[in-house]
Amino acid sequence: MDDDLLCFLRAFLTELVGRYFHLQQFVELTRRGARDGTPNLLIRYGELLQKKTRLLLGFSETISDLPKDAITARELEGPFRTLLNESREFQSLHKALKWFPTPWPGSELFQFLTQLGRERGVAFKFDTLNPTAVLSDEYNFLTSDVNQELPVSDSRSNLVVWALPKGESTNPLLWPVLTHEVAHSFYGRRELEPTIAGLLSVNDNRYKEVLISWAIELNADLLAFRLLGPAYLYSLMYFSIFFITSNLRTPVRPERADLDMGLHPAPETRIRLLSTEADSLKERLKNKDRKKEEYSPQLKRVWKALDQFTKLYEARLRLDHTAQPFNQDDYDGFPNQVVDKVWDAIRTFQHNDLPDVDITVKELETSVDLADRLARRQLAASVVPNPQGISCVKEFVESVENSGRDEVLDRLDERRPSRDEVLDGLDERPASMAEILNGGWQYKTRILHGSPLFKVKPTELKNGQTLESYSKDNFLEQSRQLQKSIQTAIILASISRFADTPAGIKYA
Amino acid sequence: MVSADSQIETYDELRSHSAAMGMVLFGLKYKRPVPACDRQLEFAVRVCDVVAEGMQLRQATRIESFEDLARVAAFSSTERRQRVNAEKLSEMAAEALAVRDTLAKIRESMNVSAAELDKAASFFKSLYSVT
Repeated sequence: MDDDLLCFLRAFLTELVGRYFHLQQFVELTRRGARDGTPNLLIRYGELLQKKTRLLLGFSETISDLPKDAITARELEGPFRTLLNESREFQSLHKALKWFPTPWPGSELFQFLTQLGRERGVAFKFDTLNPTAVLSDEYNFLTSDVNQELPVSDSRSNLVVWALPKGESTNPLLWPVLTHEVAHSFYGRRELEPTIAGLLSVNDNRYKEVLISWAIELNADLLAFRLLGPAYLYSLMYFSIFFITSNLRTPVRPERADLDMGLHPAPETRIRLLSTEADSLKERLKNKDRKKEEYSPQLKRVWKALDQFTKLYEARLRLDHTAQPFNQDDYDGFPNQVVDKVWDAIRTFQHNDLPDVDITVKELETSVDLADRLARRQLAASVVPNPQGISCVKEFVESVENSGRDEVLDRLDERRPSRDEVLDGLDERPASMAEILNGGWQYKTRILHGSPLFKVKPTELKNGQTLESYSKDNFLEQSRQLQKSIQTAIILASISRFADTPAGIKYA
Repeated sequence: MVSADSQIETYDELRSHSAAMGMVLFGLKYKRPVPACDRQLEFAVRVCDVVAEGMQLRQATRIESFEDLARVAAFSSTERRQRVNAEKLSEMAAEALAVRDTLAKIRESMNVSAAELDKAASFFKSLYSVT
């Protein structure tokens, strides 16, 4: 049990280091856009990020090779507090990106969402939105609401803006956040207020506005979970345990205190409700095949990975309890007692409105194979392994990344893939977005439990590698691999023989 | 010797250095290397100064220097927080002196007991929780 605490702490440190690498990568992208040499601001900021990264890497030695009596909540509370503060400082540094020019997100973000909409049968809703996605300097997307800050954004303008933290622009594992934002655009106050109106007693009425804003958030969580399955729960838990610096039982207020409408339920509440949803999904899948009560070996692995990740979350709750006890009196009167009723009402409403959007058994099962493939550093773009077949598609993706559009067309002309190559590619069933992200999170769970920072001793590093360069390669490679898998799957989906098969489920 | 650039001038600095001491004191207790340990100890001594002397300075009729003025400002910012009451603050001001001694011993590579390290850890934990 206490080993879980240490595992959590190591994962926390690992993830902070990883976020700094991603931030450095973003700064590097900005630097390339500077026309007259590199501005001093960028240089100094880059140095600061590097200094922070090195400090954190140094902590890996502090929490290595610990005696047994050091591994208790009481003892580990100190390092936990230090890392919580580092997480807060990382988020402040992320905010400094507002002084840098901000690129628009790459088209892959839209492709990802469009493809997800197609696979889940909600493209008809998505197509009417015509959204804009922006990269935000606010890291904490749980409180971010870019629409509230734009004076042109009101109910009449039909302007839909979704924000992703700049540092996560190349990390698909946090893209499920956008799915939550999509859900906000599908359903707003107008749809949800009547749904929960009957639940309010006279006493609850005092907190009507809070309850409505909670209902809006919970509804978005539920839809994101239904579309992506555990991948959404993973991303919410991940963000909460590493980047929410207050006690997880505390309801989250937006930074602008006057925006009571933006108030979110405590992360602990959201995760608890989504976990019950995961449990009922688990139960449904078990009952699917009544002849045997067992899950398939793949499904067992899906739940095992989720359980492992949940242990990290539970360790965070325990350390919260030791380091920063939650005082219920500070939040007396928050409508916690009706939140379960709100959840039930939302579920009924949403299942009636969108009955068939849930992740499927087949997708969950396939996600395990994709996680294995990612662990072998292979693309997770299709569910029929055929590396030769996807090579021409892969080449196309690389061309898109490295060149302007015209050059890509020229190159394709020169390249002229053979008929067989093209047909091999067509024979593959593209992996769905939900499959890839679930595979990605399962793979990530393995990494968090065997962090590269604690796996390799500095003496084992080869060819002049440092712990910094070694872990940087590891971190950025994971995201690159996942991003490329998504891009390739999307291209494959547009040319595959199985393109019309929703998420390829009928294809076994 | 405490250098000039280790002044604590803001409430954020007070909180941040209190938090950083969690890892430092853990490392010292279990004899594990801690990056930038000396520098962090230097800041921690300053934190103790702010808490120990801040209360007295705030009541003084005359503030001698800008450094003292900054110390009072940092201390007062803690006091203004709703989560700390006057009694708890005086308790912490008294503890700060003992913790400062412990930190000074560590900086001079003198032996420090596990109990002293625990006491220092508990002080910084309390300070973090009220900031």
